[in-house]
Amino acid sequence: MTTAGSREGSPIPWPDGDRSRELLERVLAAVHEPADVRYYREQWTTLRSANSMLYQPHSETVESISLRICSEDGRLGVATSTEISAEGIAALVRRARALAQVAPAVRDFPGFPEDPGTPTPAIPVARGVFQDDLEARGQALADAFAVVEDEIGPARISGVVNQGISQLAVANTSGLHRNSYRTVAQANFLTEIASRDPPPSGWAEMAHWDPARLDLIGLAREAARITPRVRPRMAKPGRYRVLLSGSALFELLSFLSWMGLGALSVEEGWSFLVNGQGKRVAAPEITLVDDPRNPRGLPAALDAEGLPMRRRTLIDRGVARGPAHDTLTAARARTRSTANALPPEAPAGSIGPIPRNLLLRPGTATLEELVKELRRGILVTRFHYVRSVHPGKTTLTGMTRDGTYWVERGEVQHPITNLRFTEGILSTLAGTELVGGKVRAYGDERGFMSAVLPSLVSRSFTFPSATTF
Amino acid sequence: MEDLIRTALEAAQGPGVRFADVRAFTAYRYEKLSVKNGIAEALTRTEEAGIGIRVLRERGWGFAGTSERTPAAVRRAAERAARLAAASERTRKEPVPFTEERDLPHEGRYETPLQSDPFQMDAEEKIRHLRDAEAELHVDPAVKVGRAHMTFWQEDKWYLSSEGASYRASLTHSGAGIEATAVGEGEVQRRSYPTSFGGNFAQGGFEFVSSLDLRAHAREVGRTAVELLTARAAPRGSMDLVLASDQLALQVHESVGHATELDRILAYEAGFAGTSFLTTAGLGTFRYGSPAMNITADATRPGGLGTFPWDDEGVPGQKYSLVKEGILVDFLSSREMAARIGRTRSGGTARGDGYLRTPLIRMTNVNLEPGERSAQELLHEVRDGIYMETNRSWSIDDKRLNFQFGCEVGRRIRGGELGPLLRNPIYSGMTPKFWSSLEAVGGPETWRLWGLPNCGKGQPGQVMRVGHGAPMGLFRKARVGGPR
Repeated sequence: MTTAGSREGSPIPWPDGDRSRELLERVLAAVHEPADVRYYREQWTTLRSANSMLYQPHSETVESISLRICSEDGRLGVATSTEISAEGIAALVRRARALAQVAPAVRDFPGFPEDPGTPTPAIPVARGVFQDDLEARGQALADAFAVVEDEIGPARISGVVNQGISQLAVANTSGLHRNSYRTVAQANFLTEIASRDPPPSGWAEMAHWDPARLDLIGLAREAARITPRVRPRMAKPGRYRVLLSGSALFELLSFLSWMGLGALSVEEGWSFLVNGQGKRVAAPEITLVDDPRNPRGLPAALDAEGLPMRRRTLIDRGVARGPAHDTLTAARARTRSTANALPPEAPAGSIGPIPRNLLLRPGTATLEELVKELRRGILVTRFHYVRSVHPGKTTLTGMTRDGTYWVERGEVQHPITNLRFTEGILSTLAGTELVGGKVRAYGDERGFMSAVLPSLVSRSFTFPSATTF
Repeated sequence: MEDLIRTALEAAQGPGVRFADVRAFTAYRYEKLSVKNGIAEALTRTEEAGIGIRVLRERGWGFAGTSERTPAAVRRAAERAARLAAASERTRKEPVPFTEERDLPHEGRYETPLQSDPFQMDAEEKIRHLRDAEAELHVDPAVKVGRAHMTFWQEDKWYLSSEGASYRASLTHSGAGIEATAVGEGEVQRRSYPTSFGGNFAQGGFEFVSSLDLRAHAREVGRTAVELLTARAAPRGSMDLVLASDQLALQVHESVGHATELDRILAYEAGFAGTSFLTTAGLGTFRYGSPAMNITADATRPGGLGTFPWDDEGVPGQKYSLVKEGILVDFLSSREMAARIGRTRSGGTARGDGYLRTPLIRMTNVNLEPGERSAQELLHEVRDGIYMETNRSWSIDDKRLNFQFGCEVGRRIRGGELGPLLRNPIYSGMTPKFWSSLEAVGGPETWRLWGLPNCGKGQPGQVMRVGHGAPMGLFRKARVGGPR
């Protein structure tokens, strides 16, 4: 798919211009207490396919303001609104103030951050995302479907192609005023040979900040080519060596971020960092970084408090470093914000700061070398419905799906039916023996969480049960 | 706003359009209040408004939503929806089937009956409730985190369609809960009331929150969290399992509710949420479970999160059986999916999460109907088994077959009597086999309607509020315990 004019460079203004500065100033002029305010403006287009057709094409345009007011004695109230008229802003201020007046005081609230003086990071942003050619994109999908059928014959194709542009502007009564744009795009294809029971399936996904760099034809071909032509054999539950693809790792490492890499989980005592900080928690091959400016991922410039986001090592050659902070948790921990604030409004507001732009440092192994190193075990393409079982131990449970293979004598033998896993993320990272050299970007549908990841081989992974498909 | 909605509908009905509808949220209010360890956490009040426009051409749908409320903006959104429908036609050869629903009323109004509108109340009173309850959770220094929350939603919706429908509804949903997290030597345990993940929710006002009486239960919740730290680990093996109403409600949600969604069955959700082990060929014959299993989808039950007068395609909310005496008898459906299996009427379960999302098949109140036995009678059926209550973790495969659930609390049952607490209880199974092991369900006094406010589905993601009624249930020889 191509999007006319896509390239790196300065952000694209909306058709009616950028009104963030005027709006933020109007909001701050209406409050007399310390406050910070965020202006969000986004446009997203999501083309969702099923049964080899474009099933649910979707477009959304939204513009909203989030205001956080702090009363004199440290009481915080947050209000958000899509009503940006003068009356709407007055009502927004009234609602935030009403909550701030009755909220229990927040311990150690340090006030809103001053501008650190460093420039807003220059991250690549695609042009032309707002004025996309929808009909051409429908045709691009039709072409991708045709490629799959050329490769494997009649197939059931599902997937999503998603792209959007978002603006985040933040200002506060301490003098900070920052503005940023971000573009995000992802695509994935699931190819199934539905005439067989259970249907063999293939999966391929990628993310990029530039929709023009999503190679739909290549991605569809990749999913088709890994779709097995034979029926999966029954898997046996047990403990196995595993080769985890980047897609599978994205699921695990996203959970690690939620479950243990943020300051709130440390404060509350259930993060592995409570006892693990400064200690070896993973194999020396594992270096995990929060890398928001990485142009190979889905770059972001500002956190929700308007601070410039920056690179920070989370696990350094197997040793855990400190958690992510926002201004509030940093004050309580007597340290500085790491610029990982989430929006203060619910539901994000109760999660606390977490790293959201992960990079697992690649090794040098090719896919063939990874499979050879696996020797005897299971290759996992993708996980499904993963949930936390024991946060302190980073234990998760979930299912494999869309490409689970048995490997023996260092070669892929045949597809197997899906398995449930129940395993600790850290024990998987601790058991890592070989890391792949090729990385790919992954992201959720709005780029809230993203990562640049290779594949890896780990020595032990528990699969307590199996399915029949 | 009325002019804007009519402008949107008119703009959506261009050349080649078979059907169009507009869902305007003239007001969407959301309030989340949470107190953690005595301090406020994310006290948020949201007010939004916007319009979602859906267009059906001969061979494709398009949807566009916008928060911008000017005639120019809604015309742009309508044009985008139409262009997306045209783009969709590039990939389709066949017309999109769609039930006609010919004899629907053209107008209607509905409002949630409220005794106390949470959005008209003083925030101070709500915060006081939370602080009072949260303070009581700290019965022991091991309780490191106490939390009390309240959440309220209010949607004033106006639905207009090219078929002439005009429905206005104002729905208010309220809920609350408390939880204590205790931390010991290498162990973290959580206990919640009335159930986990935010508590219980219903259609109604603050009177529902008051009825939960959070403060009265808080000390017991704190004590149980601490007691769980040193409780014996739950056993592993095959044994009789008694599930409390709240856990059985989630079991219904995951292994029946989602599995009976017709879009999943027909593979329209394959790429993300997954499909279903059910097939349309199994309708009327497939044995889902034992004769004790009777499941209804009931959008008419007062007070449910899945209760509504019309769905988001203008089809009235209905009550019907999904599973009757263990046999699959119906599916959850929308106008398109019902027509795809040759039906002329939708099951009326299409709902969209706000004005920025297109309607999907969503659960209404999907209920396991009660039997006749008391809780005591049910327990007396168990010589050696385990009782589990309140979900802690859940996972199920993409066909809704292989599941594993962890609960907050377990108790050994010996000779029909409940024993001391057990920590980290887990059970797992395969859906039809598990439901076939359902020996009996409790009577109406063990049945409770639960509200789940966080059912995820769709791309882009949608979060829907749904309801599940469930009694206590006895399952024979369930697989209990996780990996060592």
